[in-house]
Amino acid sequence: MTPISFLNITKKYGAKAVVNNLNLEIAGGELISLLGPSGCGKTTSLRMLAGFITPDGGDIKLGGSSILPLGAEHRPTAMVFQRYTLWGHMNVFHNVAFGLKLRKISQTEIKTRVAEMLELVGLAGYETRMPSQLSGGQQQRIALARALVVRPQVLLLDEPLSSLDARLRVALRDEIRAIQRRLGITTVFVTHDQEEALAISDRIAVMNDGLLHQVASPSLLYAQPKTLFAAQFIGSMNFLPARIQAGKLEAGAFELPVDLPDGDVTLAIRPEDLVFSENGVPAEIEQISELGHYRSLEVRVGQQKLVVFAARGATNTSNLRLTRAVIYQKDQFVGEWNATKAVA
Amino acid sequence: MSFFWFWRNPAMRKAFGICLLLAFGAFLLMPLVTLLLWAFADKWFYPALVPQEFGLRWWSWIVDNTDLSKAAAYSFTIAPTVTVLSMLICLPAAYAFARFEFPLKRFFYVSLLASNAFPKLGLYIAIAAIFFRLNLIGTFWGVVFVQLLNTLVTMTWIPAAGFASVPRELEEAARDLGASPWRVFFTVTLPIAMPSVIVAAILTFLNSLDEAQATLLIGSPNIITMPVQMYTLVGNYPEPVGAIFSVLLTLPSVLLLLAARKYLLGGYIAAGFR
Repeated sequence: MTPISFLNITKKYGAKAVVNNLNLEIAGGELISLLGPSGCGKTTSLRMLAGFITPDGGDIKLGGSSILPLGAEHRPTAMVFQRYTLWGHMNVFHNVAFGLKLRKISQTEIKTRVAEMLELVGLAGYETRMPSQLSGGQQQRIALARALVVRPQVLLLDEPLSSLDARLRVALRDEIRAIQRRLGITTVFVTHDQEEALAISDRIAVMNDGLLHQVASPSLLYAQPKTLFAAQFIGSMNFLPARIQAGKLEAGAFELPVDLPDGDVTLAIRPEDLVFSENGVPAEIEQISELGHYRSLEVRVGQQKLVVFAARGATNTSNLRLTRAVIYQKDQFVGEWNATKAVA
Repeated sequence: MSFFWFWRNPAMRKAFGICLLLAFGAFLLMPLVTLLLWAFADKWFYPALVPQEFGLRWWSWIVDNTDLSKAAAYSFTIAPTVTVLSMLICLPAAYAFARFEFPLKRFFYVSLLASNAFPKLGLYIAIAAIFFRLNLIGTFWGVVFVQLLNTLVTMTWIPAAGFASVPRELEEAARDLGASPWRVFFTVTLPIAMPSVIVAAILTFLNSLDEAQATLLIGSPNIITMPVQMYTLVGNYPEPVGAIFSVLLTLPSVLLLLAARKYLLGGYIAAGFR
């Protein structure tokens, strides 16, 4: 249950800061995701924590003491990599036992601990297999066992699921989450897949261009993205240019009473926050995609094209009512509008 | 009609491929077969296609009349010495070329070729002049040093490519679990790059075993290895003598290749990392 602190961490390549003044507190036992597009600095941050990259400025603390003076081999962290990194010239037992052998642990204890770990990742009895005989998912499970068997204080996951197919990715991410909960190990999970991050994290840190945009729980992040970037990156979102004048926000056909100063803003609406209702604004349905448990519709409201998620089945009206929206001014969150609150 | 009419016919195309393969095989094997025939020929005169008499007459002649055992002893002590020294010098350099960035890296990498860029004999004569002053002429170590020069390119370039192809993440995974950089090299990098190191070592060993020019110039009159002895005998005695020496010198390569074929053909390096 070791907490981690990134304090003013900066890493530059040439003039470009790939991680720019990162401040992040991670609680002990928490699973936090670093989420962002490729090149946002999430992997660099993780590798600075592991000790493969030295920051240009700032400090990283683990349980209150700085780990920057320690080399990668002396840090109490263990990592699962994006690519398959089992050593092909050793069998599964020797791969998993590698870290234990370095720690001068007796043969019998190594054997029991390796067996326990293989059991934990659901591959009991695989000791004598060679990595080439394993599927991609099995290789990543063994890589997870290899990392966890040394009982690290912090588990680092660098997109460990990205080379697996979709179905396996979901199964394995749930399994990783269950193991993490059981062991109560502080875990940093790097991913570019927002759905994956939303599904397994206690909190998510959204990064872009080396900057930390928001750190929040999945539900809060989804409901109130702090920046326009976070709003674009997480889930789907409709954006409408809008203008506030004397407590009234106008965005095309939509008019909302708000308690905000006058000016140009952006209105952001989740597709599920638009509902078909008789007393809404008139809209024209242009295209319908059936997506199984729900349907996605492209509609036109005045000059605006919007995406709407609706329950299956035909709608009896094409009028649209807005139930909830968030408002951005100059890329920053300034307020939320909620139909239920407005009524009350 | 086009000249390539037969190319569109699958049967013809296959026949063409087989002919090409046979021609290649003949080109490769005929000299070896001739060599073997000569080595066991007691009597072989024109126009017979194969020797009129087979036998071991010249083998016993060589054993009786030459210093074969002494030459073999020199050959089989110098070649392993050169190989081991070359590995000690070149493998660290190969790793550095593969993994580290340093100034003039490309220049140094290519400059290893320098010793191959000049006529060898001129180079050896210049070296002989230096070795003469250092009292290395006619000594075991003199021969070892001059042969080392020839092995630098092979022993550096091939393993460097091998080390470079080991994915960094495999090393990082070991570092991450607590292995020191040395430990990572010996438990992860070297085993994975082993096929390239073995290939380089075999080439170096055979190169040294086969070396005659430099050995003749630096080693004479004391250090006479098998190839040097062969050079003198080929000029003065009938064909079977040279042939027998060739067969004797070919044996180590055949044995080495057989012993190492597991490493050279095995696909286990590619496994586990896709």
